[in-house]
Amino acid sequence: MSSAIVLPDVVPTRVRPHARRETLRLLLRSKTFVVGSAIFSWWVFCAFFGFAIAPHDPTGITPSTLVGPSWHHLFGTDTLGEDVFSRVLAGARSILTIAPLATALAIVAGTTLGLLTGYMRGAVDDIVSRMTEALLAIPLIVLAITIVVAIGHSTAAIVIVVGVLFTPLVARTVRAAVLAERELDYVPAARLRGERAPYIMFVEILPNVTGPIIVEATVRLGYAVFTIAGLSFLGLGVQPPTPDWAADISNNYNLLESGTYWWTVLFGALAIASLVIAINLIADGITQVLER
Amino acid sequence: MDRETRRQLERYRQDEAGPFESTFIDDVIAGEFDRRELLRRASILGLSVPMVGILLRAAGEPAAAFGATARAAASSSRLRLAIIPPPTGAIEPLTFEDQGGLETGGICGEFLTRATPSKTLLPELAVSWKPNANATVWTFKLRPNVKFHTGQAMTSADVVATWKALASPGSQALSAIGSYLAPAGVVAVDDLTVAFHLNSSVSNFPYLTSSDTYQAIILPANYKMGTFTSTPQTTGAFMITAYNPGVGATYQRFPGWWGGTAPLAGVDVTYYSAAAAADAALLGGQVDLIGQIQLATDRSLFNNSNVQIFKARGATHREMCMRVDVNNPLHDYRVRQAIALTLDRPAIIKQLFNNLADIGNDSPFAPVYGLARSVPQRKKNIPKAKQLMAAAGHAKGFAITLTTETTGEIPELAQIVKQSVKAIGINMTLAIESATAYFAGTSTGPPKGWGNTPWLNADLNITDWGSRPVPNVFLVAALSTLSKSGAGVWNAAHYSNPKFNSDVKSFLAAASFKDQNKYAIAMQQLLLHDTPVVFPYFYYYLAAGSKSVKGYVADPLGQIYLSKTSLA
Amino acid sequence: MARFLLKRFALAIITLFMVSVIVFMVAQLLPGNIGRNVLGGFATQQSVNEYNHALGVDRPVYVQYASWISKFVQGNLGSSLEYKVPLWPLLRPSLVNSLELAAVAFVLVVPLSILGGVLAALRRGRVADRVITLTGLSLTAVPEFVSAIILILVFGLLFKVLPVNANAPPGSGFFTHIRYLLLPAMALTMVLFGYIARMARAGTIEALDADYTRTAFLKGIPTRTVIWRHVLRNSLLPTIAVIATQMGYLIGGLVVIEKVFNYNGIGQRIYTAASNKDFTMLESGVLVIAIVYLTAMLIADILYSVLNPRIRHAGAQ
Repeated sequence: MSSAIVLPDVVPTRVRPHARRETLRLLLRSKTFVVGSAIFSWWVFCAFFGFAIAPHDPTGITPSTLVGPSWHHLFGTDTLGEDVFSRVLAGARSILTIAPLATALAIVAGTTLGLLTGYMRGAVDDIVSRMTEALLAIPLIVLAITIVVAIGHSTAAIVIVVGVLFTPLVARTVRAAVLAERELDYVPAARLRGERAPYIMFVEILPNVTGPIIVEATVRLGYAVFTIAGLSFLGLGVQPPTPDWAADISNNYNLLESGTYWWTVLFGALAIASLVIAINLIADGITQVLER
Repeated sequence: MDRETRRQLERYRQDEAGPFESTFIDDVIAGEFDRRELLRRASILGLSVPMVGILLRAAGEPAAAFGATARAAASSSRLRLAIIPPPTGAIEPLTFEDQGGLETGGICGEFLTRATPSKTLLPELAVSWKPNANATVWTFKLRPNVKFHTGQAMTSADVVATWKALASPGSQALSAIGSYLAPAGVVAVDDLTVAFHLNSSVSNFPYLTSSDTYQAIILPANYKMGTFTSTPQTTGAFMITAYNPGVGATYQRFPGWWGGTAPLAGVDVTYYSAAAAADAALLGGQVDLIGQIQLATDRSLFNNSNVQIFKARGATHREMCMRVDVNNPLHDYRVRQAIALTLDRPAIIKQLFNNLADIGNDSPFAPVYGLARSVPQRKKNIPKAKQLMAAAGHAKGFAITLTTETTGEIPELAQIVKQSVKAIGINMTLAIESATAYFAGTSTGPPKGWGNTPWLNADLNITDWGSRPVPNVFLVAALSTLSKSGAGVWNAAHYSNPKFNSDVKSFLAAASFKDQNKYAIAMQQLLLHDTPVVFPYFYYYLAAGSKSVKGYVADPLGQIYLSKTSLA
Repeated sequence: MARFLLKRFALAIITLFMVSVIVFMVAQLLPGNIGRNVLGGFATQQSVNEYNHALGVDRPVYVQYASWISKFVQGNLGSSLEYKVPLWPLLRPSLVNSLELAAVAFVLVVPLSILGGVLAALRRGRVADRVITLTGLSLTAVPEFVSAIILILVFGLLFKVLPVNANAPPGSGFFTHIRYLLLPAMALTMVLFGYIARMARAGTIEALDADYTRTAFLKGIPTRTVIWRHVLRNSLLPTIAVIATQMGYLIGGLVVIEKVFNYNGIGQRIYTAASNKDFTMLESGVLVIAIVYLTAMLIADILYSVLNPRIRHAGAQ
């Protein structure tokens, strides 16, 4: 490293381990983050072990249909006599498979695109920015439905659709962060050293924009849960009898109008809400700590 | 039977009756029919009301109040009607193939005859009909003084033009009539008489002219395709005055209706794509009547003191078709039998319909037809199913995908089937598509003659079928070998059995109940052995209305006939 | 100012062009032979070919695109493949309906959430702030179909005070229309409240901490005047931006709400078009939505620049 260039405290390799520990310490002291993480961890646990810990077979059809909550069926049973409690536990798996995968796809693609456009500027930036604007002008759920109808609805299709549709949104955030970074001294320094663009983007700049990316990832995850639940509700989600919160709500909400059978819908709705709240709390906690 | 009755019967036999009528009279005297069946068969043959009275007396039944229903006085109230799902495509009677379309057209349209829920046939635009000696030519007398909504009078030219189109390529009615009737077979005898010359004898042909061939709305000879919703030009009690695709339609009372004045001043139709939204509208007082409901999708309307449920027992059913011509375990009839034996049908009917359905015996002979009732009902029998699987070399089971559509209770039925076949080691995956995707693609042509649409080509599938007053379509289009004449076009199992084909032909031509039943039993036994299709149940067609709806009768096919309906 | 507007307008046109390309390409993804889909399996190959030829779908994709877009620019949207009637008479009422619903939702949610946000900011860290923030967070986390169902149950079926379907009978007056739209608008309010209130709160806090506010307080100007003149105006800036970005969702993104309330909005139209493979309706419908969205963004930009002199002078970004 050339000593002629003043290096402020942004040399990533030296500062980061310390900063990361500090960040973690602050996060653990944030009530918002801790509560959010606790709820989120519970659902992640259910995603892995929900089928195993469920008291009944989540897809087991029985003759005791639409039985209200009791000790035997904590959340009652649905129209096919399946145990709602077991389906809520096991239902975490589908949403917590699809939503994180879609988010991951959007983060990887969006970060790459954001780095490229933010660092390169010029024509690439213009074209991608217009594309982003264009995609934002089309209601997301409409685009998602069209594409899912076109390529057939499978888990992979939903992951790809939501991932691709979220990519420009992520790219936009990352680009803004990169624009600020490239004005800092270390970027021209690297350029002067003769580093090539990919190296500067991914090795020099990327570690310094992880904060906004992490925040973006948590926010996107919340939206992914929402979007996928909406698709599921419209009948474009996982195939029955796979337990799925939104699909189960969609199948049962007509029961509510009779004034009874509320248990077939309420618990799935609470599950979705608690998952989204948990993700929002985590996002809030991270934002507060990183922006301190 | 008193002497007077006998004398009247004999006179009728000599003066008017052809062989078909004579055979029927023999059956009546022999006591083959209950009252219901007698009325039904008399109406197919177009017997006059006095003649039916004589026959009832001959059979020792009380006289009938035939077709005389009191009608409420004309009022200024309008019925708010929910139709679900919205019609797909343009409203064009000739190409009707969906529930929303046939309901929308049927409110203003009329047919030569109308099938009632009790399966009798009422005169509508035809007043009487008669077969020739072997039932290959059927002659219909038309109702005089019928006016179209345009003001022009209806004559045989209009009926002939409508029916020639129905028998021509491009008509969706071909599945019902294509194998018996060519365009040239429709002939005007005089201004008010039309003759149908059939390719073969069909003893129950008049049914095919009824409201159950929902494409057969009589239109003026100068009708132009694409103008059905823009110009009122049918003959019904109501005329369509506005139509907004996917949203709704408006109808006004037709003052020049041949039947007098309908009690309702008009009908306002709203289309719904979600059953729950329609249910909420009925419960919240925003609509008066929902054309079609089901326990599975509209449970909130059942056991509700503010809602009346209209029932029509019929032959509406689901077919689970198993491809007999693919290289997988379904190829073996023993495997197909084993699958059918895993279903606990009474439990399924209880769970999905709260018992508002008849049990199916894996043939289209629904209990309502009264045919082949002597053949024992197939029951759940897991040990036997396991034996059959072992005999077929699949003792350990296999994996297979069941493809179907999100219509009514079908997704639930699919889940029940999936769970049931677990007992014999079959690991079933479900592929439940939207109805649009399920029926998409071509249905004729390569590779096997049924194109590439999922509903006719998936290895294992479940399809929804509407009711018919006679089982002709189910036998010819869905189970016969595919042929140029139009047979087998909906044969999703690709089933082909020459013995079955010839039984179908004999059944259709048979005049006496005894013969019809004989062939029905033969076909029933063949189908139980081959089991190309599982018919788990025939469910009742249900409609729901507020307590103020009077004089509405549900139709097994889902036609919404409102000329006698009123609002209290 | 004129240059700024002109530049914004030009960018919007370019974006529209991109939208048209994207939606056209997505529609090309939908499988199937149009003629075969429309005419059915029983039609002969020749009639299918003739149909496709008459429709022009046997031409190269770029020719089809050019023909579609040039007609669209001239105001000719073509006709629906599914219903075989001209598109605009189908899309226009749906669009108007969507705009009406969005307007009613706006009138409900914007004052409510800005008030909530500003109140929370002024009472930062106290009970009122906690209550408003938590309510907003919880409401935002409930999927719209759930809140819609709850509203139908409570107001439509339990107390029977509001209609459960949102389409007012034809010929009803202004207030009847609003009454029919209240339930879906309330559902939207529940979805958007937390989001907008949060932005308003953040904007207000920032404005409260800003130098000019401190100066104003130091100058002895009464609190109410400071808040009214300096804080509120500045806290509105990010809020407007957020509201503008929600326009896309409000116009055309309400598929689920429209389905639950059986409302004839443009979202429902396009959803039906997509599932029925009505290519022409899908393409033109999405483009119409995009035009409305970009117009809204343009208006938001103007508002933003009027409220924020810095932008006005600096030009676009």
